[in-house]
Amino acid sequence: MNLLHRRVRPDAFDYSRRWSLRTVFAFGCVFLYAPIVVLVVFSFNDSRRGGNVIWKGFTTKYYAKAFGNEELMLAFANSLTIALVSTVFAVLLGTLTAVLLWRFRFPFKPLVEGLVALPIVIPEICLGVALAIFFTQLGWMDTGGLPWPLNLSNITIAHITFCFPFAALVIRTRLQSFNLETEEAARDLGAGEWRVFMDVLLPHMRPGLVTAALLSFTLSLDDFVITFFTSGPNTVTFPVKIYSMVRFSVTPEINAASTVLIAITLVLTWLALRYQKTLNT
Amino acid sequence: MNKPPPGDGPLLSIRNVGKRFGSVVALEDVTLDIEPGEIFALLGPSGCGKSTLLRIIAGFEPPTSGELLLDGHDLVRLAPNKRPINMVFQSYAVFPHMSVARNVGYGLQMERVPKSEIATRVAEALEQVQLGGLGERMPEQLSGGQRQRVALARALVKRPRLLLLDEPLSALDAKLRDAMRLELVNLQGETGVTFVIVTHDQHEAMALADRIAVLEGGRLRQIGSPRSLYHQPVDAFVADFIGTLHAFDVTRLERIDTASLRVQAEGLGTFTLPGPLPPGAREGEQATGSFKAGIRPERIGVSLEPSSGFGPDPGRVEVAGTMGDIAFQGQHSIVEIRLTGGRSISAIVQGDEAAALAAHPIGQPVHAHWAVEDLALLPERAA
Repeated sequence: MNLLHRRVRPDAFDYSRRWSLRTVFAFGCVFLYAPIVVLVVFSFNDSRRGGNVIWKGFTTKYYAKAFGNEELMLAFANSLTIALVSTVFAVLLGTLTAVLLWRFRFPFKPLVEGLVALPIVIPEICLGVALAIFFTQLGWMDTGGLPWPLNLSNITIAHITFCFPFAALVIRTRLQSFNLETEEAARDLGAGEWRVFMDVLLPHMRPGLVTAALLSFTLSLDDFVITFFTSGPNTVTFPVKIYSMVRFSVTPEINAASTVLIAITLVLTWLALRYQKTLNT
Repeated sequence: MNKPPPGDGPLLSIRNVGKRFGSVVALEDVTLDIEPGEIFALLGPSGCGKSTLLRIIAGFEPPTSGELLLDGHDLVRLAPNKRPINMVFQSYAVFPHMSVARNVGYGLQMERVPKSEIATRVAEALEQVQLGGLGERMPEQLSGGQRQRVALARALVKRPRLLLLDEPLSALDAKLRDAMRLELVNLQGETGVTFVIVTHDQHEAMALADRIAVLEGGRLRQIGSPRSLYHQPVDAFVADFIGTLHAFDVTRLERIDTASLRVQAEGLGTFTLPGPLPPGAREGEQATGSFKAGIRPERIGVSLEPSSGFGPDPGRVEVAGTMGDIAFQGQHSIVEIRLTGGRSISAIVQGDEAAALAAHPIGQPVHAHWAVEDLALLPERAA
């Protein structure tokens, strides 16, 4: 790269030469990532208290302890189940909604669009309270006695409610770049409605579906507010369990459990990215 | 009509087809026949309804009125996927997530043709459009021209009765366009499939088509061979759309006898034209613009001096102007002449003459002239 070229288009890392941008970058790192790093590092700290910032030596015993904690593991399994089921339904509903809004014109369409996006904008606490009242009225609050996974049905329904608008939004955005002529081409070549959907529209939506699924899964997995309001006394999810543990004392066990959650999220993201890449080549 | 064997009617009959979108009239009472084995062009400016007509033939739009008959059978109620008609889209619409071979085989797969037959027919079709051996490529690895060939092969492999092409050459660069034009003509000859081409480009239509339908404002203006449209346009619009026509408003018409007319036109003066009074015209003063006297650029001669000699030549029209730009085109040049009235006309001038004119400075007086019988007396719009 010669000098002239550099002047026209700055290097990718040119921002690091300006102190103001460096400061912003540093603040970003400190407030976004430092807490996570600290959390992970201190999950290996050989100390009785998780809030202890003095390094007492390396240990993995809190991982063993976390995995040995039956209640925590149950909450964890609950969370994964809820996340999985609500992801499937959120993506399904999101796809249908997105295709409906993208494809058809019908009366009161702007109203429907607004209603679909509503769970994204209204405060979670409101949605939580509303759902809690709804389930109480139905007598569907205390599901603890039901067999697994029906004991998680009300929380799952609540999660689908707030996840599917995000899924619909992502998929709809993807649909904007669809070349309508490819759909007509498929029809022209002899495909009926269903084959057009399967052979042309669905492959185009696929990256959007993956993103939507990932988004729904993470949103569900770490949701606290809505879950807290809709979970009965006998069903507990991972974030709710952690919250109740923190109220007693912050031990490295919590750090360890949280680290596992971070690891799962990272692995899922990595898998999704890899899948997207194989689609593009 | 004149096609053997007897009883063999047109391939596609379009009868009084009209299309409205709400209150907008896109097509009005279009009637035309497409004969088997021809290349038929729908030509017109954008918004003339040609694409709408193509979409009606393909089945993507239902006509508001009228009927379509393919081999005498009603087509309107058939869904696009049931019509033996295939289309090459303007964007090519190649399926991006399928390989070239799967793209081409898709239509056969929908027909439930056996796999082995699909493979051979796809290979044949790819060979036909000179993409042999590229079956495993993905569309994104292909150039625009190659993608168009995929779209062509994908449509032709179904052996349609009718192949529709939407602006097939518009997205290609000039060199490729000429090559593709020849190839399309060859493909049509090889396959014998009837082609219907939509285009806004008169050169494209003239070079490709056996017959052209000129559309404007949703109405059919004229149908004919490129030659007949060029030499016998029904009105000034068609004449100007097929080639260039410099049209002058006719202000007065007078019959001298049954075989000649005295014509007065703005900017041209008065001259005598052979022929009877054109249909729809009356003698005397003319409403402005209802009739035009038109001349084609290649009929215009340019000289530096006015025609000298023994008084005005009755067989010749001459107008004075000044020299404008010269565009060198190789064999010929296009000379712009700015007429005294303020408008400009262009003349096509051959080699030597053009060289002499090129030496003439811009703004100097010149004279444009042509033979009286080269002037066409045309209505502004045919009824």
